[in-house]
Amino acid sequence: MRITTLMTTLLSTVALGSMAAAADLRIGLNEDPDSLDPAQSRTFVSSLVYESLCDRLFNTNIDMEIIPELATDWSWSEDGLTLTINLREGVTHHDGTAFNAETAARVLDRNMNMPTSNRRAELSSIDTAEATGEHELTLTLNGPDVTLLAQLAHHAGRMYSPDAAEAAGDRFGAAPVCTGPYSFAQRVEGDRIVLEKFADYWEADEYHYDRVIYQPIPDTTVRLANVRSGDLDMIERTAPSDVPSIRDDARLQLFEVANIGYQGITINIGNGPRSEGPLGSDARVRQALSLSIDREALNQVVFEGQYVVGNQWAAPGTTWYDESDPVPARDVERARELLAEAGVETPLRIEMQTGNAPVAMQQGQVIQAMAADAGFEITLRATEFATLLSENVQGNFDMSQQGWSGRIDPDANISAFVGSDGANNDQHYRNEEVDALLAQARAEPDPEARKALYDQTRAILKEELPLIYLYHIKYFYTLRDGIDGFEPYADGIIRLRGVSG
Amino acid sequence: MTAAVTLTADAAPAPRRNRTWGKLKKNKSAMVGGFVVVAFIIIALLAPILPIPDPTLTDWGKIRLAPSAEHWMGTDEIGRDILSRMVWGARASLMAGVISVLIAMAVGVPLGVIAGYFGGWTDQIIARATDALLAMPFLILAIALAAFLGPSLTNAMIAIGLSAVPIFIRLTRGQVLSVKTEDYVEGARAIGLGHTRIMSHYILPNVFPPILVQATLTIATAIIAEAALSFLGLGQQAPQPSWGSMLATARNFLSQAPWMALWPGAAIFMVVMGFNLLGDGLRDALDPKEN
Repeated sequence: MRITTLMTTLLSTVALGSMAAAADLRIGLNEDPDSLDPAQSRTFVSSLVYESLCDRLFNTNIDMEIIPELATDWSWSEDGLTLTINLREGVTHHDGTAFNAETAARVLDRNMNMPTSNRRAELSSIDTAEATGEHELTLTLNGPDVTLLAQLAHHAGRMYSPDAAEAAGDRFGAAPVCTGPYSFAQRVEGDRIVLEKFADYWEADEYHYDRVIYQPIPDTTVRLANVRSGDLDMIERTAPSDVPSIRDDARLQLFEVANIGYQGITINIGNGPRSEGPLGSDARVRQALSLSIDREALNQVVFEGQYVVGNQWAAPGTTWYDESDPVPARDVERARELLAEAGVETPLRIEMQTGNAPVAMQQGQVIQAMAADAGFEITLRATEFATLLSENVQGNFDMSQQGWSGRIDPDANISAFVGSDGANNDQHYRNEEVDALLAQARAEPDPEARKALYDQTRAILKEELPLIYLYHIKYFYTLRDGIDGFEPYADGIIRLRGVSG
Repeated sequence: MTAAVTLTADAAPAPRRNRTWGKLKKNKSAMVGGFVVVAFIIIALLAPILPIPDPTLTDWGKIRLAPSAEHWMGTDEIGRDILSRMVWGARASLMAGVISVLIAMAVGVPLGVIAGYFGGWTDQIIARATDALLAMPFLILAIALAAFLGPSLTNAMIAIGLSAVPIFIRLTRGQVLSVKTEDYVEGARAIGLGHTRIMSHYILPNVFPPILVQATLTIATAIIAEAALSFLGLGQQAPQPSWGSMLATARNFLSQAPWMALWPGAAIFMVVMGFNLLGDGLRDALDPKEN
């Protein structure tokens, strides 16, 4: 048995080795994607694979503005309740079936109705999706929703063959059939996802590799070693601590881009008995904690100063950032005063949950040491990330180091986290005023008026602090020398159009 | 052998202890092992009075400094003195090794004696349960138990201790089986002594030497297990130091700060080697067939 396994491994290694000589591009990923069914995916990393596999109705340009992809143009009705989208002609699915308004409507129907779909909330404003022409798709809404285009520029707008999806049902993710520049060839869970060039792609000339191979390698050091040794051509999410040495390496290229998401601490305010301590019940204690953290030092110590410090879901200097509330400096004195005002006996013991990635634990220890100066005694509990999320949902936490990869529409960066019904409101924060402001903002087409509404929520949130925002990451990509045409995007998604060498 | 009837266990060990020590002294590698072990024990015991900084004291201005006069082993990823963390880490490692083996012996040896002495159904139940546990690799069992108990150094010690229990049951039971037919045990039974007294005064002292050897060797395994659990985040919790967790962090800075991995790696290697050499030496010294 063991010999057979060994032989198979050897043979496949030899086979892979010889095939790699063709124009292959090997990309190292930070983690293995979940299901490759666009209706079911919930991870960021799956977007990286989808970008070569499944086109979306809308994409974003390098400035994170929405542009058409499988759509060619679109128009809104006067009342904002009907969205008409014209679709690209001459597009074929990987199984040879034609892409048109009818297949697009069926895909949206499946995304909205399949019980195991994770797209239902994102598309909840759609009442019906109909083909009103060969290439004209009409969406009727049950209420105005300015976030819809952004949803159709994400997982929810990725198009696939409805015939293949119907035949495969829940198992569609095991062998997805889409319309992208590359078609699905093979997946070995935890090891690799192999895509092959789709000759009938509508823009096939822009894609220069015969195969794209994605390999999940969670350890950043190992991932970097693989691109250094030439076993990988490109890696995403390089560790900031490795950045200086990559800059000095002539055989490597480094690309960086500020991410549109945020990282911070989520505090249990109303989710079960663990929210009832001083931290969960008194905003002054949370303010004290926030003031005890030196965000700049945290950035320097853990991330080599490569990230951007922050105090809001939007990064300083970006469109949605509220300039009236700048990043606070560390103030241990004030933090102590606040704790005294709150009548808290110090040291105040609190548990902070962190992911078990080394950087997350390092960050946890820095916060632990900083908060100790103000009178907090933080114990750290490191768990694997999926466990952390599920425990947060169940309310089994005092506070938790969490982050968000970010979406181009602001609503998706805030409503889900502080809205009373928010899917990611693990801390069970409830504030009717915030809910009302968020609902108003969701229906407000004028960006300036919309920003004013978000600024009003900021004024409330910075006092109540259900989330302490700390910093915004940058995505670092390391490529071997010789690859041309790569550009990093703020959403972190790797686009291979025009990439060669 | 007739002499043993009168000597029994109370008197027997004295001459043997001298002979054992004599043999051990002549065994060079055992002495080297013993020296290493003693040295680490002294360092661990002296940790509170040594002139070293607090192992959890951070300094944001001194991140990952190379070894220097001020920080003999350098500083770590959040500016703590590595020498101090190594010294305090030695405490955690040695304590974990010794305490988990004591736990294993406290549970395993009595069960082994009972199984071997009484035989029959008692033996069947204990021995089969032991076999079942032994079928599981030691470290896997320890990881599973530690994950179940929750991450902390105490729980890691309990997990490692419980995982090592079957080794001691099996060893003790085997020894008891060979000893219980000896004349002096028969004699003790003949003069009407109770089971408890026979087990504690006649059998236990005579099966103890191999258990001692096993204990020394198991301490080495337990130290590695503690390092492994801490490496995985299931042992010593931050910010308290442990060689295993230090290694886990150092792994991310292998190219930028290799010394961070060097010290804990070397220390684990030396202590484990020390205990192994000492254990081997003890085995030879306690073996009555070897001269």
